[in-house]
Amino acid sequence: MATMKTPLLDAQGGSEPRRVANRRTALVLLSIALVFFGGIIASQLVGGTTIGIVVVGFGIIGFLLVAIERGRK
Amino acid sequence: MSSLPHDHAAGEPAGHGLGHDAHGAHPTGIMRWIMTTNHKDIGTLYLWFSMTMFLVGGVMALTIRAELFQPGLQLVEPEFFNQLNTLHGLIMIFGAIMPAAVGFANWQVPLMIGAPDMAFARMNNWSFWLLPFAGSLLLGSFLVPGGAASAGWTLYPPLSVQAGMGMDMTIFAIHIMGASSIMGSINIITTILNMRAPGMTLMKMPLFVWTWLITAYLLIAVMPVLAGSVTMLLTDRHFGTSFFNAAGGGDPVLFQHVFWFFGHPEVYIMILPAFGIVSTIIPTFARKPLFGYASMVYATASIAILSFLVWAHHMFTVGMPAAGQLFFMYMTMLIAVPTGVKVFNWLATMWRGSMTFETPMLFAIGFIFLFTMGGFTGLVLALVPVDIVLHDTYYVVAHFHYVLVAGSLFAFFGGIYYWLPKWSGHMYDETLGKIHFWASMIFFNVTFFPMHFLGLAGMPRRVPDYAPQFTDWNAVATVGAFGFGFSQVLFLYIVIKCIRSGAPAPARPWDGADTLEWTLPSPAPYHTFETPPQVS
Repeated sequence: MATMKTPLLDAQGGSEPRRVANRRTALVLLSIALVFFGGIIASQLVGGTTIGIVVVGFGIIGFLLVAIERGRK
Repeated sequence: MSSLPHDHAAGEPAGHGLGHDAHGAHPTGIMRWIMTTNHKDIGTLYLWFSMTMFLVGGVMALTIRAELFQPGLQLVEPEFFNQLNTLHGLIMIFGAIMPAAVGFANWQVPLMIGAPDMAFARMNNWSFWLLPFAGSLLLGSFLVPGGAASAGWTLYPPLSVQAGMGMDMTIFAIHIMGASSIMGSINIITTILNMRAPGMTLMKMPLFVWTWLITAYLLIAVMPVLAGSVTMLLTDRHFGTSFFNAAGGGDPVLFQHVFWFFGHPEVYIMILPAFGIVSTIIPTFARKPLFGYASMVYATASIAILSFLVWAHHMFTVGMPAAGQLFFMYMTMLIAVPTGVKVFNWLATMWRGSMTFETPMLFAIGFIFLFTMGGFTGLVLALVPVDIVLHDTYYVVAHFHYVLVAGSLFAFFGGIYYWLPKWSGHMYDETLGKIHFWASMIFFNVTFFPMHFLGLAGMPRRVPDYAPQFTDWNAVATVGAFGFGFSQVLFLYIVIKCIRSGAPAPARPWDGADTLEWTLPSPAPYHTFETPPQVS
C-alpha cells in the first residue's frame, strides 16, 4: 500500500503514475472483497463459523487502522 | 476542515476547469446518460434512480398502511401483503437509501477534495447501470409464478429455502447490487486516498468525505458477506447443499448470524453519509467551524468498528448463552458513546452561532431531534430482557424508521436542498421547501410515533390483520403515512421546479459555506479541477 503514503495529487505531475497507484489501491480493495466472499463460504464449509467471523472482523479493523495511520498527516 | 484555495477569494468562481465547459464539449441526448463517465452525470443518475425507487417503495408502504387502516383483510391477500413488506424493505434499502448516498458521493467527493473526477470513471458508469437491472429483477419478481420473495428483507430460512422463483430473482438482484456497491466503494476509496488536491491532507478533508471513506470500507467488508450468504442460500435451494436447510442437517440460525454480520454494519452504511451531510450543513448555517472535527472523525471510525461487534442483538430470542447476550448488549450500548459525541458536537457547533433556518438547516435539526429519539429506542432494544418482550413488534418498526427515515432520509433531503443550487444552477423555492420540511416532520411523527404504543401493547410486525384493540393507533398511523407520502410529491415538484425555472444561483449561495465546491460557479461546470486547486 505504498500509494497511501503519497496520496496527494502532484499539480505538475503526469496521469500515468496516478493511474498505476489507483489500480494498485483498487486491486488491494478488490482482493479484500474476494477474500470476504470466499472466506465466509469457506468458513461455513469447514464448520468454523465463529473463528471465521472473528478472523474476518479483526482483518477489517486492522486494515482500517493501518490505512488511516499510514495516510494521516 | 478544508479551507478555500488561497488563490481564490471566497465566493468567486475559480478559473480552473472551465475550459471544456466553455466549449460545451460534452455529449448530449440519451447517449450522454448511457455512456457518461462524468461523476456529476452519474451522481445525477444515482439520485434520480433513488428518487424513482423511493416513490415505488413508498407506494408499497402506502398499500401496506391502507391494508392496516382497520382490522380484517381489506385490500390485498395476505401472501401479497408479505411480498409487499419484503420488497418495500429491499427497495428502500438497496434501491433508495444506498443509491442516494452514492449519488451524493459521486457529486460531492471529487468536488470537495479538488479531484477532476472519480478514479475509475468507466467503472463508475458500470456501477450505476447495474442498478436498473437489479431493480427490474426485484420488481419483475411480482409477475412470476408464486410472486415476489415474501420472507421479509432478511430472507431468513426456512421460508427463503422453500420459496418460489421470486426468491431466486431476489438473490440474483442482491448479487448485482452487491457488485455495484463494491465497485462504487473501490472507486470512492481510491479517489479519496489518491486524488486529493495538494494540501488536502486526510485531517483537512470535509467530514462528508471522511464519513464516505469509512462507509466505503464498511461496504467492501460486508457486501461480500451478504453475497456469500445468499450464494449459500442459492446452493441450498438448487444444488443440494445444507448450509441452512434443517432437513439436511443445516442450521437456519447460522444464516441469521451471517446475515446480521452484514446487516448491522449496513445500518451504519446508510446513516454515516447522513452524518457527513449534517456535519456539512450545520456549520454553514451556524456560521461557525464544526466543533470537535477530530473527535467527529474518530467517533465515525469508532461507530464503524463497533458495528461489527453487535450483530447478535438482532437475534436475542433465538437462544444464545447468557455471556453472549451480555456481550452483545454491552457492545450495543457502547455505540451510544461515539454517537453521543456526534450529537454533542452538532449542538456545540450551533451554540452561540449566527444561526439562520433555511430548509437544509431545518432538515439537519429535524434529523438531530428525530435520530436521537431513534437512538434512544435503540438503547431500549439493546437491553436483553426488554428486547425479548419487544422483539418482532411494532416498537422495532418505529425504532428503525426513526433511524432510517428521520435519520438518513431527512439528512438526504437537507443535502439535496443544500447542494441543489450548485448542481442545477438554480435556487429552490424556500417557502415550498419549508412547507415540505414541516409537512414531513409532522406526518412522519403522526405515522411512526404511535407505532411505539402499538409495539409496547404487543402488536406483532409483518401482519396484515390484527386484534381490534390496536385499531385506533393503526388508523392514526395510516393517515400520517398518506400525509407523509403526499409531502414527498411536493418535494418532487420543488426539485423539478428548481431545475426548470428556479432563480439563478450564485456561486456561493450560503455565506457560511467554506468547502471547495463553492469556489466553482453554479451550476458546477461539466469538467472541474482539471488543474488541482491548492488548499491552504
